[in-house]
Amino acid sequence: MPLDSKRIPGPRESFPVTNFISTEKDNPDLVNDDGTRHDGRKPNDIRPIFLRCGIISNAKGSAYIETKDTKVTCAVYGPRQVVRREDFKLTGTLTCDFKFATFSCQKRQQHMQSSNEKDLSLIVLQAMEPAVCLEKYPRAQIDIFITVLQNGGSALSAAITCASAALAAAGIEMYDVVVGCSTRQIGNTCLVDPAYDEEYNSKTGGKNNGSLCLGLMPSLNQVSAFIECGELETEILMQSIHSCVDGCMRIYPVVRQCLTKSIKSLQKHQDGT
Amino acid sequence: MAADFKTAQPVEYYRQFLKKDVRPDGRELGEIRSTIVNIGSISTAEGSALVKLGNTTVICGIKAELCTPTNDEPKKGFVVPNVDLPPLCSPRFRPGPPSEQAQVVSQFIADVLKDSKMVNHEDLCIAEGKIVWVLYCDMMCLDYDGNVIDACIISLLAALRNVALPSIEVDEETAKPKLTSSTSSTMTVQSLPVSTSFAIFDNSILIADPTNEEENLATGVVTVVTNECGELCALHKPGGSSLSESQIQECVKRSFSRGDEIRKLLDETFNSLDR
Amino acid sequence: MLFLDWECNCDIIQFILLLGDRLGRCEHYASGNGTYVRQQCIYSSLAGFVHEQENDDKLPILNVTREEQHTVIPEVGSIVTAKVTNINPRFCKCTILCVEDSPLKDKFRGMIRKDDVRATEKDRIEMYKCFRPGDIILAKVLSLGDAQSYLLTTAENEFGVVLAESEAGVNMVPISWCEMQCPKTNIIEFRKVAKVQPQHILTS
Repeated sequence: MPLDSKRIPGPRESFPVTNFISTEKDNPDLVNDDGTRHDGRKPNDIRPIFLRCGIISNAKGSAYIETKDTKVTCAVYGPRQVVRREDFKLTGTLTCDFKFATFSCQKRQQHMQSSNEKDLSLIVLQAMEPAVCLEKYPRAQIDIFITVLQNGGSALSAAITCASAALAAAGIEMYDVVVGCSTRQIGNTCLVDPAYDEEYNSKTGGKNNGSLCLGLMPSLNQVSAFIECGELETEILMQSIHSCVDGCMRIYPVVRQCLTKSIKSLQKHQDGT
Repeated sequence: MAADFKTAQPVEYYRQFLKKDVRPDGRELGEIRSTIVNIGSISTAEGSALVKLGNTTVICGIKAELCTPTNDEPKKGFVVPNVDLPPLCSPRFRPGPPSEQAQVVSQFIADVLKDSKMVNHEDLCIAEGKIVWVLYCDMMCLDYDGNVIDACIISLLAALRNVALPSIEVDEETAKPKLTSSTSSTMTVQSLPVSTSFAIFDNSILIADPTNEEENLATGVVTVVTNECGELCALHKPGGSSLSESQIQECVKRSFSRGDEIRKLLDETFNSLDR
Repeated sequence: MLFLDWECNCDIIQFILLLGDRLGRCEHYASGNGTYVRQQCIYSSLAGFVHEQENDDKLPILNVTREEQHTVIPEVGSIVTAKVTNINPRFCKCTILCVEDSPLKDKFRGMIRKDDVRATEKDRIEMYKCFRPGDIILAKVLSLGDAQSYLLTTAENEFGVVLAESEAGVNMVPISWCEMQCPKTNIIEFRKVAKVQPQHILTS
C-alpha cells in the first residue's frame, strides 16, 4: 500500500482479530426451526426505523437513519456553482459520495474510497437522479454526501432512503421521494431488511440464493433503482421484488412522518424569530 | 436587514455585539457551548464516543488490530489517531485527500496523545517482540461549527476509556494468536487531557469556544490542554495576533476549570452506563 | 390540526404537503411554483405548504412553498448583492452574496465587463476608478454567462457601489455619482456610486 503522508501513519501492516479467531455462528441457518430469524424477527419483518432530518447545521439538508445496528447519515449541499468546467451542463448536476466510516464494519475500512464505495455512490446517484427535478437547477450542482457510521446490514437501502429524505429537507424540488428496501432470498424464504449476518455472500452457494435492493418512488409507483446479485429463478425473483416493494411501502410512512415533522419544526423556528 | 448587514460586513456586525460583551448567539465571551457525550454507540468499533459541542459534532471510533512491534520497542503497541474533516460536515471541505486543516489537527492530537501519556503503550503488548495491539482512533467530524480540536480531544478521551479488547494470547505450538476467554478487558487511560480553545478577535478580545463564523473572523487562535493533575500539557498558538502574558494566564485558568467540568461530565456518563 | 386552520390573507389556507402528493387536476387549477404536472394532474415537488392563488378569470394557481427562503440561485434579471474580489482593466470579478433579499448559503461567482459598468461614456470607463476589491455592490444579472461566472451589469443609476471602505478602514460617504469621501481623512476616492432606491431600504 502506498504511504499516505497526509495522515498519521500506523504500523506497516496489521491484521484484524477476526483473521485468527473464527466468528462462525453455531447455527449457520438463517432461519430457526420455528420460522424466526436470529434477532427474533419474522421473515418479512423490517427492523424499527428512526429517521430524522436537519441534524447537520451546516448542510442545506441532512438526515440520519438508524435501523437497529445500521446507522447512516447524509448531507446535501447546494445548489452551488459547478467546480470544474468540464462538468458544466445546462441542466443541474447531481453528485453522490458514499463512504463507510473506518470503524463502521467488522473489518476496518480504509480512509480512501474503495471501488465498492464508488460503486455504491453510483447506485445511490442513479437512484436519486430520476426523482430530482434537475431542469429546475440550471448550471448548478447538488452534492449528496453519505457516511455509514455503522453497517449492520442493508446499508445501501438505508442510504437511499436517507439521501432522499435529506434532499427533500434541503428543499430540492423532486417528483417523489425514493424509499429503499433490501431482501435476501434463500431457497423459498425471503428475508426482508437483512441484518449484517443475513446479507448475501457468494460463499454460501445453492439454488435460489441471492439478494436484491430496490428504490421505489411510492406515489408515482415507479422503481428508480434495482440491484440484484446471486442466482434466482424468475418466479422467485418476482416474489422477492414484491416483498421488497411491500417493505418500501412500510418504510414510506416513516419518511412522510419525518418530513412533516421537519416542516413543522421549521415553522416553529420561523415563528420564534 | 440584520442578515444583510451580517453578509456585507461581518466584522462590523460582530463588533457591535462584542461592544456589549455578548456574542450574536447570546453567549458571554468566556462561555462554552453545551457539551453532550454519548459513549459506546457504535458496536462495530472496540470503543466509540460521540461528542456534541453546540452544533459541532465529532464521532470517534476505535478499531483494534494486531501487528508486530518494531525492533526498537518490542513491548510497545501503537495508537494511531487521525482526524477526518469530510465534505459531509461543512461546505468548505471538498472531497479528496485530507485538507491542510485536517492534517494540522491530526498532528496536534497525536502530539497531545504522546506527550500527555494518555495510553501506556506497554499495556497493548500481547507477546513481547511478536504481537501487539494497534488502536486506530479515527475521529470524524459530522457537523463542523468551529472548535473541532476540543470536540476531537473529548471524543478521543471518551472513546479510549470505552475500549474493550478481547483477551488474546499466543498459542505456543502454532505461534498464532488465539482467544483465551470470551470476556473483554477495558483499558486504563493514564491521563485525562482536555483542551480549551479561544479565538482572538480584533487583536485583543478573547472569546472561548469559537463557532465557525467566529473562527473565520478571528485574528488568531489559542488552544490550551490541561490534565487532571492541574498540569499544563500543551499550548498551541499558531501565529496570528500577539497576546499579553496576563491574557495567556487567563486562558490557562479558564482551561483548568473547563477541564474539570469535562472530566466530571465523562465520569457521570460512564457511571450511568455501568448501572 | 394546527396547520389546517392557520389562515393568512383571508382566501389562502395552508396545509402541509409532501413531494409526490397529488394536489388537483389541470382542469381546475394551474401549476405554480413547487409543483409539476403529470398525466393531467398537479403534483407537489416540495415538502411544504400549499397556497391557492386567485388568478383573475383564469384558473387559480397552486403554489407549494416552504417557510424558509426558497432555494435561490441567480437568474437573469435578478438584483444581486456582491463583493468585489478582483479587478483588471477589462473586467472585475466578484462573489455574489445575496439574490434579491435572501442571502446565499453557497457563494456564486460573478463578472462585470468594462462595457457594463455604466450606461454613458462607455469608452472612457476606467475600471480602477469604478470598483476596488472589498466593495459591496448592487448589480443586475445580465446573463448566465459561461461556466465560470454569471455576467452582471451596473449600467443603471441604482446599481453600483453601496458600501466601500477607505484606505483608513472607515465606511465612506457618497458625495457624487463617481466619488466617495472618507469621513476620517476626508480623502476622496473614485467609485461608480449607486443611488440606493428608497423602496429597497429595509428598516428593521
